[in-house]
Amino acid sequence: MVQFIKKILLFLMLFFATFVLVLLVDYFFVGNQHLGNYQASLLDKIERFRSLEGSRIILIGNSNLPFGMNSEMLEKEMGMPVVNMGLHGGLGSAFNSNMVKLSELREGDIVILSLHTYDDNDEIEDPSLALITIEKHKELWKLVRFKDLYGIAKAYPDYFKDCIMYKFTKYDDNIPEETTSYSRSAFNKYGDIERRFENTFQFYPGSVGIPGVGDVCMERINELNKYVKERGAVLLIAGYPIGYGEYTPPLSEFEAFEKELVEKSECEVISHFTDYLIPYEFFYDTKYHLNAQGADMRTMQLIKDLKKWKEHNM
Amino acid sequence: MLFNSLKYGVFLPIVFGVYWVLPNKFRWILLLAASYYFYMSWNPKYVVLIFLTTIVSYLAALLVEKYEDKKHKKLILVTALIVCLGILFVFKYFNFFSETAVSILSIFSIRLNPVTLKLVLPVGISFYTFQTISYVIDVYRGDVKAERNFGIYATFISFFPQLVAGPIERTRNLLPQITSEKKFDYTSATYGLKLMAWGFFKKLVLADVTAGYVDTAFLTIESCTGLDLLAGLVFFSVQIYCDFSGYSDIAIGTARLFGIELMQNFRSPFFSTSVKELWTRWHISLSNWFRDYVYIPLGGSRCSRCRKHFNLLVTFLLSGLWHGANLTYVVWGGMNGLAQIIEEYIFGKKVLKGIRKFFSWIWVLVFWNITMIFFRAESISQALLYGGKLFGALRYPSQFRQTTLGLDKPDCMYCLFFMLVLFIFDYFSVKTDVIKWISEKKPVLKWTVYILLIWVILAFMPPVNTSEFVYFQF
Repeated sequence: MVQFIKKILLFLMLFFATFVLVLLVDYFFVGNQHLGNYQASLLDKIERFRSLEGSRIILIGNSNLPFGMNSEMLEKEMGMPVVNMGLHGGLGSAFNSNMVKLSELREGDIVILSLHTYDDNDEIEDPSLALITIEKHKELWKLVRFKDLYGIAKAYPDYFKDCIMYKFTKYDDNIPEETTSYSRSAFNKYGDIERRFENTFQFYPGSVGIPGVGDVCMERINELNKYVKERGAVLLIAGYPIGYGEYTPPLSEFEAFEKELVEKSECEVISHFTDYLIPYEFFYDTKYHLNAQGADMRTMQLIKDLKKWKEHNM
Repeated sequence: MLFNSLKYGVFLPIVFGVYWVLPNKFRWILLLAASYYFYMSWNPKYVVLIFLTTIVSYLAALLVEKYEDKKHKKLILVTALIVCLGILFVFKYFNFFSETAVSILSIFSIRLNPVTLKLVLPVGISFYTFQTISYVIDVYRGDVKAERNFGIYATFISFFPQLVAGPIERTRNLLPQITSEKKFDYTSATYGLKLMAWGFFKKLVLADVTAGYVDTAFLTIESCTGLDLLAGLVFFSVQIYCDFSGYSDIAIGTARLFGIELMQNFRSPFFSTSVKELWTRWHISLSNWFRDYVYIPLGGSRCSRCRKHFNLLVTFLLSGLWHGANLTYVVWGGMNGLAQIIEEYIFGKKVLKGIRKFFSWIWVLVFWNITMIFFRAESISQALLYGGKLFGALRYPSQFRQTTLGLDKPDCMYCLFFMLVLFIFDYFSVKTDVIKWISEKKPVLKWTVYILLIWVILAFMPPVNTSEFVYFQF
């Protein structure tokens, strides 16, 4: 038995040694291999908010932001520089909300959180996607919490395999061509999509749901609110684009959701969610991606909400 | 609890450690507790069914042994069979028979609504039910003595490595091992770990990856090309083999850690040169069960040729039905029975050699893949659609172009490479124990192989979901 345990420990040590070796090879030899995709647009966003002086508007959330916002319009109307930090929903709201921690908050910053649900299990939904996003960029590892490490470690061998594959063959499913909407070059300096698909989404029963409000998610958002406050900034919750048409649930259900959100949130909810009902024809994709006109409509509503909030608070 | 879950990764070392610390006479208690915990972590309430089946078969065996006269013995045996099979029938087959009966009546213009039960199929019910039945029959036949200690018997029925998907163990093999004096055997335990690693490779790298292609092929038959359908079918054969034999390897390997040897369940089935031979290499524990408790009692082969073929066909139809409550499985079973009858007419008892052996091998592979259409399809009409489209495409080679399953992607290439590795492993396994052969190599070489295998499993398994084993549904 002792011999068996010794051999198992030796095997584990050897395996760990190969793991360290793989990490070193990955870091020093393979390097970042996903620099051309949608996820890599995060690097440009970080660069932007670091280069901005004074107070900023920082948009935090999932892909309804980069694929549904006109940040330039928001910047002009509000007179403050804007960075759209929204990213792929597959990363999970916890990961996306953590983007605040990358932005080195300053006094007077306005952080706007726009999620399409406030009910999640506080996990990274797709650890592979998270690895593709953070790669070996040291500053992005701040987004990973201790509890996320198991999922990340589990996804790592697959990520490493893809990186090796791409390095030697230049083939990877995760790296789209330069011309698609999911490449880094498809986004402008604010972090908004510029090169959209030409499409109108066909809605169907169930494609518009009522968001949930979960305790786990709200606890995290309230913690985030404290973090933001401590740095002299403010966290606000704003609406997200809701498809409006034949398959949209009754408005009373959205009102009930909003009421529950306001009750459980320690930060201010500046929007009435029913103001963000946008006809189906303005969605080119979901969740909940708008065409250019739709993005303008949504941005105008956000500007209204922000101005109203400013009137009352500043 | 799934073998391929973190929970099992914690559970197994704890049970293993405590098992070898405990004195021999208490070990079965730990195994029993661990086995019930293992099962209850799936759905606690269904443990009642195992308990009920166990208690009925335990008492039945004691009574069968107690009574001297055959009439009483038979009555007790039949009662036990009715209870055990009755539970299986209610949970697995009731809806199928109810709906089939209504369909048949509708042919005679009698319109009825089928009575159906909203029950979840308990994991492993077919496996442990068959194990209990074999025990009672063995006691009835006088082949084994009834176990007096209920706890030890319950451990035999619920032994967690083989509880949910076999191998379906025989009393003579497993029951004495539960309580036998055991000393930790380093060679046996390390062999178990290596076998488990190989099982995980088959399950996580081959079965789970091919599953994606198979699901797409069967979900989108209409839009698939001939090549897609052909690949979908071959991949399904690989999937089902790797899924089930992978599970068996993990089960056998786990049992070895506890000093218990379970029976072999697969022996390179794709190197068979007849369907009959294939069934001595594929799901061996089930094949043996049907041979001993259905085929031979029906008369086996010691009767007229016609009766023998009837016995064979009935056995395989029942074997098909055992796999699932669906006509597709019955057809699949029937095809396997018929093929063996046809083989007997064509080959007789000749030993095939050379080119004839090669063609027989090809015949088995082609036949097996065709039957897999029925095994995988959700209905007869889906199977016919799949088969029709596939064979239609075979006639028109142009329909093989433009694959839609993503067969040109690197993942598929990796998959084909690992299928080749499996093929080579199985080829050599026909004559030698490959794991033992590797164990005898120089430490640097064998440890490189082991570490590489772990890395391959980690790198190529689907990263997000933990998938169930296909045979859990049976």
